[in-house]
Amino acid sequence: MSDAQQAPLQFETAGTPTSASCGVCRQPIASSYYTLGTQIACERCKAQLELALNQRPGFAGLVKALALGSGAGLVGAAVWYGVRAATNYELGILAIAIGWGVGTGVMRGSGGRGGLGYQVLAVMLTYFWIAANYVPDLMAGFAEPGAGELAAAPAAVRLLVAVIGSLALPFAQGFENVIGILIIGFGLYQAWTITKHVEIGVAGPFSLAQATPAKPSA
Amino acid sequence: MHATKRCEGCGIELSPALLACPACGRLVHAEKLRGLAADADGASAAGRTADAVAAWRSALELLPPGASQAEGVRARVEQLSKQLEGAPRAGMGKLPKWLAPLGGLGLLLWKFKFVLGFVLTKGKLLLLGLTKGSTFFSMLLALGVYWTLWGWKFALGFVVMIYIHEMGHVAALRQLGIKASAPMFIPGLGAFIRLKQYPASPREDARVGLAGPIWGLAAAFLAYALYLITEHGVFAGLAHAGALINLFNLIPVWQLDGGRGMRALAQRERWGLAALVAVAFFVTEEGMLLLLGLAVVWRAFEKAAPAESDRRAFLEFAGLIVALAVLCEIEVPGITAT
Repeated sequence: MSDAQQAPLQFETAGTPTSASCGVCRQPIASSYYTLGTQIACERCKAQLELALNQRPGFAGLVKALALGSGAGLVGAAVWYGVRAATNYELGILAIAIGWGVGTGVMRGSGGRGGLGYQVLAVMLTYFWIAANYVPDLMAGFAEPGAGELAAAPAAVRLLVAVIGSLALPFAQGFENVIGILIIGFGLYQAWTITKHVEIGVAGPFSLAQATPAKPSA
Repeated sequence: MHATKRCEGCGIELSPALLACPACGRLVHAEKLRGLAADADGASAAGRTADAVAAWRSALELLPPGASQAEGVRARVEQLSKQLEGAPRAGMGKLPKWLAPLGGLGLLLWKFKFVLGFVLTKGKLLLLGLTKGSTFFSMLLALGVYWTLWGWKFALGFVVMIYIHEMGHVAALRQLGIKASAPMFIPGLGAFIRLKQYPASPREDARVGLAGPIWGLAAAFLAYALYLITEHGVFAGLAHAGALINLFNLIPVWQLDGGRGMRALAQRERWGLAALVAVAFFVTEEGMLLLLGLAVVWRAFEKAAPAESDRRAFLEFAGLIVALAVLCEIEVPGITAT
């Protein structure tokens, strides 16, 4: 340790005493302050934040959430499929990664607000993309001899059947796939929690008027 | 109604969210901080380094992260935790004088005492971990799920292997005086421990992160030894599965153990690991090594890698890769890979 680090520590004040200022706009605060989480804020900044959080993003926000969530889900499903194809291992933890990616995308699309509607959207997208990573396998199965009429059907029809089939696939094996179902559940839970409505702990107002200092306890 | 707390320095109203007064800078927990500092100094003077580091870590939670004191406290934590790392473990020490005349036999007896002490202390920790309700009951739940799929013998062994891996983390956390929750099992995903205090440096993070796979490796070796003794295929399966899940955990992404280990490694050490993984992959053709290698290369390009190397973390990481890759090669008689 350096000499400065070895020096005895004082536990009176943190840094040089200064006048209170807003942690957002950096302007001095005259009479009272708020805290947003652990950050100090003036009344104007606190009101602006509350306004921004309470504004509804509307249809454009929903479309953006859908697009970003789907994009993240597509990447996640492709990675999962790629890992399985390259290594032959089924890494369930990637379901959580898809939940995280979709949740983050949807949350960004919602302008960081989240809420019940976005939670439902994120869960549905997560399930869709987790299931979708089996679509290439199903498509390959349809192309094999013995696939019946599907083998001769147009590619678009086979794709549609594969997508619908993939949605039912996790439950098709029943209790034998209990771990698979649990893992999907964790992925969905991840998406659900990420897209929760953001609650910033706003506290205040607290007066900056100096009263007689309380007697320090012995 | 509960009265708003006022600053003991200037008398303004204080938000409960603050650790220092926004007007005069007075620390809200000044009294408590002085007490913790005194406790830490006293413990250091008495040679109780673990208690000292624990007191400083508690003090860190009461300081604003940007305060100059926080930097000083972090430096103390780092210094003390390095001391803890170099401190002799239970059962170790110099050869007693009365054993010296016995020469090699004396040394062997002393080594045996160390091995016995090591097994007993770690065994005690493993048993103590089971007294936590959340660990025990979540473990039972996981056992039930795995039982339905693989039968009770493999399920029990698998759960025990995950438990030993987690207790490796617990042992490292205890040694460094970092508060954490008891292990919690999640069927299908393994188990996790929630840290209540953050490691003060990448070095500490690496020690905690790699301790799990090290203990996991020991458990896999134990299973393999049992297979060699009993020739029971379940033990070979457990050794193989244990090696595989610990290798997976070394992938340096997200919250996986390898990610923590990688934090302490300098760029050249990361490239060294990448080369090692490449060699291991070409020798064993183990698919998990392909994933591990890709992630290590990705992390080797990281600009934020520390400039200083961490020899111990590198050797642990490299040793784990080699040993686990070898164990992954175990043939499992009569058991179909699931």
